[in-house]
Amino acid sequence: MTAVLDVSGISKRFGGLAAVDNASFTVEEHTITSLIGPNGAGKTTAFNIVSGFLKPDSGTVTFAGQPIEGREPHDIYRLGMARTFQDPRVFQEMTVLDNVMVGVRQKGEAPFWAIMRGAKVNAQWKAARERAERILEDVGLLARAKEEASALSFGEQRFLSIARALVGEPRIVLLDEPTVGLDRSTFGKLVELMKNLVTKERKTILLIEHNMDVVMSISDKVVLMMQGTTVASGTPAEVRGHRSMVEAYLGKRHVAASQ
Amino acid sequence: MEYLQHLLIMVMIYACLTVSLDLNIGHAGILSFGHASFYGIGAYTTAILTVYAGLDWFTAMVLAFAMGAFIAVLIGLPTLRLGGDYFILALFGFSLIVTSLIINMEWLTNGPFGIRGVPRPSIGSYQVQSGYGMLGFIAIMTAFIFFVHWRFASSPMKAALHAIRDDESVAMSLGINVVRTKIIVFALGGGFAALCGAMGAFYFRFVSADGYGLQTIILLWAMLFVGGNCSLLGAFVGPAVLMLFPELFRFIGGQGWDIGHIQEALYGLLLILLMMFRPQGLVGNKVGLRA
Repeated sequence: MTAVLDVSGISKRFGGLAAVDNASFTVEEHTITSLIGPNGAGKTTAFNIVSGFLKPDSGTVTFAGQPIEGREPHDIYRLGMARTFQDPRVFQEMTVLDNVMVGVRQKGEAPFWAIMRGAKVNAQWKAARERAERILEDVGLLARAKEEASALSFGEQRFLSIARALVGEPRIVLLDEPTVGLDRSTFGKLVELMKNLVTKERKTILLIEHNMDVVMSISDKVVLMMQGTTVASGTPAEVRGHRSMVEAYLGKRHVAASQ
Repeated sequence: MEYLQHLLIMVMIYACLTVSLDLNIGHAGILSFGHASFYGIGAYTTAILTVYAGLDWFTAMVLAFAMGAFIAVLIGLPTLRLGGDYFILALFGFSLIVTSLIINMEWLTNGPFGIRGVPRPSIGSYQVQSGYGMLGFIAIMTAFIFFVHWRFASSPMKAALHAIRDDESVAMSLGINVVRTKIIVFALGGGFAALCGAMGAFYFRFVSADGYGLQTIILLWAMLFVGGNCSLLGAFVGPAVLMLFPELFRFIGGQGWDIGHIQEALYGLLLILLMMFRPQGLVGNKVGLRA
């Protein structure tokens, strides 16, 4: 397996606080990698560095063989990396279908081509709509395509935000705590969706996740972060037994007690 | 009849200004307080190029558009990164500078006296005269400008602009070059406002420094919000209501009545009632303003 994403020694300070401090990990193609760790461990900051929203103070991020650290988010998206945010952040006043279509970059967005149109522009637009509809079907929202996004429940908005990130056919998707706030049945659907993305659609997923049942059941690889640093990495079974894992989730006393 | 023609022409010019302001405010969330200045820049560019440089009307009009767009890029590059409220203040400062420059650059603008004798457009041997000819010319320009804005609002451009308006970070995360798109849209707004300035210069045959300041900015914003955001029809209804409403009062009252103050008060009351009962505008479908 080759690493499609290679994060090496990234650091980011905010004033006196080292939010990410020399963190390194790799994500192999067609796998699910989970980034775990206690609150404040630097997971979301690491996400923001990888997706271009923050420039690291030091370190490198290599995606599909290219250095991407410090590049703009829209450039990184066009290279084939999409992300979601902790909140769904759907466009409330747009229809569900339009929300997804925002994720498609096309010629017709340029003012000149918006005026002139032409066969190629129109064909691209039609293809974008069809792709958006197909993805809405995958996440179970096609029946609601014409409704305003604000009419959707929180869980449905979460699925919509994931659909929006998928419509540009990214190679890798970064999902920031996608299961938070979902009830049991939608939770199951989301886990199923993530599994399908990797096995059927041949995508790669990097996940921030707090629910250990999800992490341990669907991850090919788990990366543990603590205080800004990656402290352990391996299969779920390997990381579960790691000394730092016990320390992170149960506290230092338990480490001492278990020895 | 001439009076009616004049009203129609004014409504059309303001409708074009409003629809281009809507591209900035309604669609892209760029709260442009400089629109009246671009209108003035277009009018002066047209007057200077035709009267002083002797260019033909069409070339002057195209260059007026280019000048409006160019200055919008110059102003937009440093200011579009600012937050909504700071951006409004920066653009208000810009509008003060433009008015001051027009009055003080006498060698170019003839200062407070303005520039007279802007030629009327001509096509081949046909010279547009006042009256129906001018009405036709303004109507054709209006149709063109509305057609272009209809194309914008019915293309994938619309979704990208609305994404930027509603959540810039999410727009970036979906591959939209937010800074570049905002500059392009701001430049289009400046260009089309300048084109309206050219239309006004051809119609009045005269440009002066009045009419491109705060009062016009507020009038344009009021027209946009009375008509309604993100609506081609609204961009027509807003100017029509705000321009025709005061005209109606000309016919009420009798001899010796001081109608002027009552007229202003009624006009103000209309605005207040509209914003209370139809905040989305008369024909718009979005609520209010987002910053």
